[in-house]
Amino acid sequence: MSIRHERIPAAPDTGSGPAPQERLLIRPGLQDLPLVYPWFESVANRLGLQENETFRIHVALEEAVSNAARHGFPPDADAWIEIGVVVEPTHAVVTIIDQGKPFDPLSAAPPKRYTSLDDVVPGGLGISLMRKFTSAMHYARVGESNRLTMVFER
Amino acid sequence: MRIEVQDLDGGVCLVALAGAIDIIGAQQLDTPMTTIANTHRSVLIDLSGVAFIASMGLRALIHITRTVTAKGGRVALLNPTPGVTGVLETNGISDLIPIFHDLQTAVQAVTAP
Repeated sequence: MSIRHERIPAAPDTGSGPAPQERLLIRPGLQDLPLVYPWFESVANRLGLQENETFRIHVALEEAVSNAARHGFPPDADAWIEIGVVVEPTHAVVTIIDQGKPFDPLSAAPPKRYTSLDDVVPGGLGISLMRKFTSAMHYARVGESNRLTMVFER
Repeated sequence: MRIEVQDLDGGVCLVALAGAIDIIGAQQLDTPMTTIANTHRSVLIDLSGVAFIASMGLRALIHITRTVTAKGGRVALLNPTPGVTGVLETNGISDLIPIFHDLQTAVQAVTAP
């Protein structure tokens, strides 16, 4: 099973510092995608996220990670996708870092309201869901990495 | 992903889905839902057991609805949870695939001439 997860203290636990980051590494492709939600669910339960918070983050996480895993890499790429979750009292932050081809989801056209199912564009729904369920998103290409940050107000 | 199919009076196919319609769940739906879409004109999809849906799940629902309506049939959704309803409202999809919260009204909707 090509999955790694760990908990990285961001600072000594003094009771008032930033929350630690929960981190998961998965391989590109489809095979590791079923492992993402069980990991996130355990993090959410342990950190006390409410059911509706978990749902919103799960939707955006699913879209962002599946985009990177399915479209960012050539087949059998020797690479990792890193998922980080930090939960603070007022917000949660999900960060996805990968060395796949550059892809800025924020560059997509603003969501449109479809008037016919025939007009629905593949790919547009996922980015619309990310926009809908996040409070803010930030994308940067840093060196050879895509870094997508999604913020969820609590 | 669990799928239970029941034929109701009036030629209505009631499809009860349960689990998560994520990318993996949507793949599992592909073949059975295509078969249902190709063989029925009135399809009711019970989403009460669906705890999660994302864009691939929306696409699966859009695909079956397109297929059924293209031959003059109707599709409706039944009893989605509030979270799933929020996803269905994205881009106005819930205006294009009707949602009902009681079986009788839903059956009338998919069998209307």
